[in-house]
Amino acid sequence: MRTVFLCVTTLLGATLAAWSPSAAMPEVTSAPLDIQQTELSVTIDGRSARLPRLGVPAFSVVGGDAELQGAARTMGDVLWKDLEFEREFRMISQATAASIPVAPADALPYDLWNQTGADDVLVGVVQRVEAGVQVEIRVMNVERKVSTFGKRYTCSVRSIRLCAHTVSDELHKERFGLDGVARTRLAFTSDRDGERMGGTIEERSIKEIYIADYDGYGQRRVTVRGSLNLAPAWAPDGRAIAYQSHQSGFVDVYVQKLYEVGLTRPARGTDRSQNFLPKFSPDGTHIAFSNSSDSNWEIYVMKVDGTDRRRLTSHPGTDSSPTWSPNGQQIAFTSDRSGSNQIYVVSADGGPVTKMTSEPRKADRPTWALDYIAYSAEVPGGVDIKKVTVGTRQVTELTSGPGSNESPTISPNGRHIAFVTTRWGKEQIAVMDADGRNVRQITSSGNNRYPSWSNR
Amino acid sequence: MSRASIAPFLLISALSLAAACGGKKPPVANPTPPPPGPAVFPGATTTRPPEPPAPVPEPPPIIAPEPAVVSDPLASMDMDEINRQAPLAPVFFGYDSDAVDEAGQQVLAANAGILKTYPTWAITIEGHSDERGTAEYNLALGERRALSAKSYLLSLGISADRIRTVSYGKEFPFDPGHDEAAYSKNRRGHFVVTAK
Repeated sequence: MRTVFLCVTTLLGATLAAWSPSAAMPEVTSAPLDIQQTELSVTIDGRSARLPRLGVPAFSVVGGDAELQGAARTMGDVLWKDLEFEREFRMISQATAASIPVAPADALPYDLWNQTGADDVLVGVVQRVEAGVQVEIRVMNVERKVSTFGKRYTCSVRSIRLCAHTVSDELHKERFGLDGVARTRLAFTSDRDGERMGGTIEERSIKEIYIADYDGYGQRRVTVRGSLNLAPAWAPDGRAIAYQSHQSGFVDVYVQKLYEVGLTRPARGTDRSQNFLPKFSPDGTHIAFSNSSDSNWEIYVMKVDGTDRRRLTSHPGTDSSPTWSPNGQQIAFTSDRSGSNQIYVVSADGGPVTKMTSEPRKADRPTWALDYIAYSAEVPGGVDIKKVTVGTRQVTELTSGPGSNESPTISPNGRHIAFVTTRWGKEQIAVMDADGRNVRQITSSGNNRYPSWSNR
Repeated sequence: MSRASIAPFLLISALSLAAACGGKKPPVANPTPPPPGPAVFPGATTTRPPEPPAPVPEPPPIIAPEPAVVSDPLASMDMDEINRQAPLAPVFFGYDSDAVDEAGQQVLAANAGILKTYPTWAITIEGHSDERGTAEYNLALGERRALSAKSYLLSLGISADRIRTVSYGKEFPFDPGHDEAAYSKNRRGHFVVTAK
């Protein structure tokens, strides 16, 4: 019997004064249920070549007070959206599902579901148990009338969204071998709190680092530096964030732990040697960043504790915005060495550089997943997001307005991109699929920039 | 932190004094604490670690010629008031440019004159950009602007020890508008007095 423990967001530490942590760390555990499925027959015929159609009727609540009823509704809604997000299922609308009587898995009205075109129906039963809330999830195949997925989850009312995200990730993994991103998070910079910088200068909003679930839920501030704090980058274990801050009167790289007290400045900047735009290596041991000394920006790599500092580039032009390849062996960055900013790639050990883009204006802010690098491209009237396939150098436009669209960050499975857009007025974080479709708004308060998608 | 109390310079004597000891490196109050650890990095060979502040010499005794002379308002202000007054004018830049043009040179010459008048002042030049282009690119552009204003001041004899630079990219527009009138105000080197 497999038990999965999930580390959930309880933030501790004096640096998190803006958010008061709750006492208990919620956790979600899951255990498989017996299912009748013996083999999953996937045949390449008309039926399985298209996306399976999935219905999610309202979850049944056993006994249950209003709080539990609400939690069950939330879980159903969140799960529906999580499953829709990866586009592996074609989701039957919740309105259609609501027209069919709720029934336990062993008494599903298969005829009615068949009329909706459903291939599968996901049935949830929610009840209180001593440990909190127990949710049984079964996926029933409409044609064969058997269960193809069955698990029991134990969580709490407070962690009910995480419970839904866990079901989504596990179902995607079992059914499609896909690493879903329902439990990943976004970090970004925002001025939403309207706080002003201290000191003498004009009215200036401070900008702090915020984090949120991948779907935009639970946005909260994680820095209280009272300054300009930009360009957060997740540590791969999701337990720390690197960013650049103007707190000392110049720009330096800070690394802040999220679940314990810990703040370091590993690049040890000064006003003559400032450090920008940090990125953790995929294995979490190193940080790439830009250092500016005497107006010459170069790419450096150091261990997270600041030791073993190595310079990767050596050119009088500006080299900035480093990002790691998924295997950690190469670094893409922006350079104006050919005249205008373009994207280049260099080995993580240094050496010769390879030019990846030939944008008519400028390219900037590369971010790398799978076999492609997404970047911001200056276009007439603004900025849009493009991607270049590393092997072929083929360029694809992902956005084409409205507004400016920039600062892409790719989900760990490479299938989604978060970015900054002005299409709704102020600068907001949005998420789209890696082909540019399905744009969803994540933030709506203040100006928000520099998104970073967590690895887990 | 040395806040040498040479504040009561008088306007006239201050000018002549500045001229008299123009070659001397004035003591500078360092507004931010030093970074932890040594500021020497392997690889950053072009970077000289900042020199430790020189010991502060006693200001020479000044014989005020006439107490009746109008006192210098800037000298008696605290730093916040000085910065609200903004005696050092901003220098503006062209689109996507870090070149100091003729108008900018005049502004910087005037600013250099003021810095010679108040030889204890230390300043930060902030580089700012308009909203066009990526946020990341504008961080570098803002820095190039600040550094270009700084090198012009150095060419006018202002000591490098008195000038810090920092880029704010496009994060702090002075005019929130989205047209050239706003953009032209936002492409600037902005001067802040950080020690007096």
